[in-house]
Amino acid sequence: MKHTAVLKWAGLALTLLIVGLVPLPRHSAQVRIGSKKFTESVILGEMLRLITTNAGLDSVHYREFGGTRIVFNALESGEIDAYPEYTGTIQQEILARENVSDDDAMKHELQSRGIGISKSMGFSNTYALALTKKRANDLGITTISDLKRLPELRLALTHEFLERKDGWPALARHYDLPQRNVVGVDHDLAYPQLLAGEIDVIDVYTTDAMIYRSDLVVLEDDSKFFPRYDAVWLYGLKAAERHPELLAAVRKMEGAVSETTMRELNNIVESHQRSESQAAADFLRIKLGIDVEEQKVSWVRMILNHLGEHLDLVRRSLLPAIVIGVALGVFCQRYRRSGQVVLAVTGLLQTIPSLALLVLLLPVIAMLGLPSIGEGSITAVVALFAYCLLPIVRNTFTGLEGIPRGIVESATVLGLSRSSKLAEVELPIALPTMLAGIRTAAVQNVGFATLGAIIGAGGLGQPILRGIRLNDVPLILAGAVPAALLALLLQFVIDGLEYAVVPRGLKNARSVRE
Amino acid sequence: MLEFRGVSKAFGGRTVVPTFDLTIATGEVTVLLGPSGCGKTTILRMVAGLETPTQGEIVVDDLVLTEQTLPDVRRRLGYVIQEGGLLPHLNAARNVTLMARHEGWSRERRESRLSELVEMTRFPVEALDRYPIEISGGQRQRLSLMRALFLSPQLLLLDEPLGALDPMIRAGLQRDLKEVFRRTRATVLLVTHDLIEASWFADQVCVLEDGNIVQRGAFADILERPATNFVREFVNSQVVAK
Repeated sequence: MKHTAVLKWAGLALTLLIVGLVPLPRHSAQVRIGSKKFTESVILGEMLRLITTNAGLDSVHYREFGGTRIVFNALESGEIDAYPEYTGTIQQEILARENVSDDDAMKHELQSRGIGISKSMGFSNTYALALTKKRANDLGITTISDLKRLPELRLALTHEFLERKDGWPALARHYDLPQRNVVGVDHDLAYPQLLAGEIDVIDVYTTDAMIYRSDLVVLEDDSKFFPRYDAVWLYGLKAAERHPELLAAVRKMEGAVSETTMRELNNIVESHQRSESQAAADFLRIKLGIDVEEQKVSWVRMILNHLGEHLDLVRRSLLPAIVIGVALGVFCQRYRRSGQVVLAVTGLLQTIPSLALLVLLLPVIAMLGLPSIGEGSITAVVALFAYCLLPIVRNTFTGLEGIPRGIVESATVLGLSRSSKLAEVELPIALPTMLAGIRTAAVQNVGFATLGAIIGAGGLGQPILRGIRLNDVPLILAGAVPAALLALLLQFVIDGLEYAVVPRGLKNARSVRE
Repeated sequence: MLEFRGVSKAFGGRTVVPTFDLTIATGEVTVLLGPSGCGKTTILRMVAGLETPTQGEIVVDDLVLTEQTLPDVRRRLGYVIQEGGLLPHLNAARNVTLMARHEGWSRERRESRLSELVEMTRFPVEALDRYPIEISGGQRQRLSLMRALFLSPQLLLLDEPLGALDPMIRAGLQRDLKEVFRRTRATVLLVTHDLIEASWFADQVCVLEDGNIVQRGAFADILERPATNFVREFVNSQVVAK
């Protein structure tokens, strides 16, 4: 009898922890393929997935889960087994410090890291600078050198291009370019701005479909700055040993994709005629004579899948955060000085930009040997957990602080032990405030969880990211609307819970004068 | 029996109770009387273990109050404060039976004790399933009293128990409270600034000024033979006012 209430809270905490921490049976595929966050990479990833599947392997494709560094690190740590890359990027970016001078040196260096490299898939996708044809004609420029005499031009370059060793700073030095009006922008958002005339020059990939659809002029690299960007496969040597079919599939794609073909594939996807999977399947059927089953996933099915992934992210971050957050809130109220530190730290966690937090966490999680990317990613869960803490800790603290002294003291004099007092008096009285904090955390969490897609953790952020990449508004809405509804639903559920568990005596808290 | 032996209390550098010596015999009702800020509540809180004396010791029956004996002492005392200190999330019955449930009393035993106390404190039975915010101030104090009495304490501590009530309700509760003191035969320490309450309840009255007992005796003595100017003024202020 004595400890019933204490046991009840402990049981509730344990239940929440168990439900929150138990992982769903993770689909452990034989081969995991990755791709970077642009259309071409996703199409190539789909091709390899389809070929390996056709060869009888159980393979998955973590689509568009990051930039070069994130995806390469995932390959190096063995979290993915293969992804499409470009020789120029390997040389200038990934192995920049090693200073590999030729293909053999590159191959050798990669090999020492347990990574194999295929021969070229048959096309090169070079970086280039582009303008609209009209603007180029008006200005009368055709080469990068021509930019030298136009210092007032406005440039919008991708963030990756701005930072890369073979990117803007080196290019500007090489050509002695005078432009200062240079901003960083997402690749998919640069085109509309260019077409609207808000900017003059953007960086493009030479296989970019938009170049031909929007009639852009690519400036000639007249003093040969850009290295070759031959498309190749990078794959884990161990994985290739384990599954010879993977290596065979990679070999099959060597020399198989011409630049024209790639551009066409990019075009039919970006003009929304075919999905990446369909485009990849078309290619395999026509060019390689491999007849793969075409995957046509209905919208409802797609949304439900992502909703399921999203809920899983929310479950695994929010439920533990409730338990830990309430415990920390109690701690803060008991131990004032250390409590201030805890509150400050949880507050600080919230100020870290979400993207930065994810990227900072990636290597840490990978180092711990936990799945850092893809389905069941711990990285996303940890980041979401960190964001959830503040409202829960703060509201628990505030709720406990707000209990009138006379009530706590009366309970003390009655002879309740510290734990019983907490379980039977303080937590129940603070419950409405605590629930309000949990509600805030839950709603925030559903929104933040869309960011999980950035590292391949899936969720409703996935269609949003794809939609932004393909400039496909319905696809963006297919992610955004269910996410908003989910947030509303969760709020509704917590309201209902509050109605059910908060006793009448606390409902009109303002009239309690004691 | 309740005994204070050279008890003093200072908060930071400020002395609230300089040296306090007092013995209260078992079954006796003692009233600490004085204006606000005279240290009477601090003395009561020290007995309840909510404040620790800076010096001296407090003895409850055979137990010297220490951190170790505090749980035992608390089991023997009932504590009632102004506004009741009731738990807002529990209904009246559960507020009262909280500790009995902790002690593992059977349902029958709890219910029979509850009906005894309902009768003794004249608490309306139909209000037992209401929450503290749903009952009147007078009922809240009766409830608080029931809760304090539930485990049959030998010592009752009351801090301005009638302070927040309007006069009519106050008169009724005052009468009932005295009857409760008589029937339970508990040792009672009651703190008030109100002369009428003191006169009504007290076997002995201690008038406090800045934490010192300036006069101690029967109520009539205080009224008729005030020992100091302070006592005279304190008494007159209320007699004239009434």
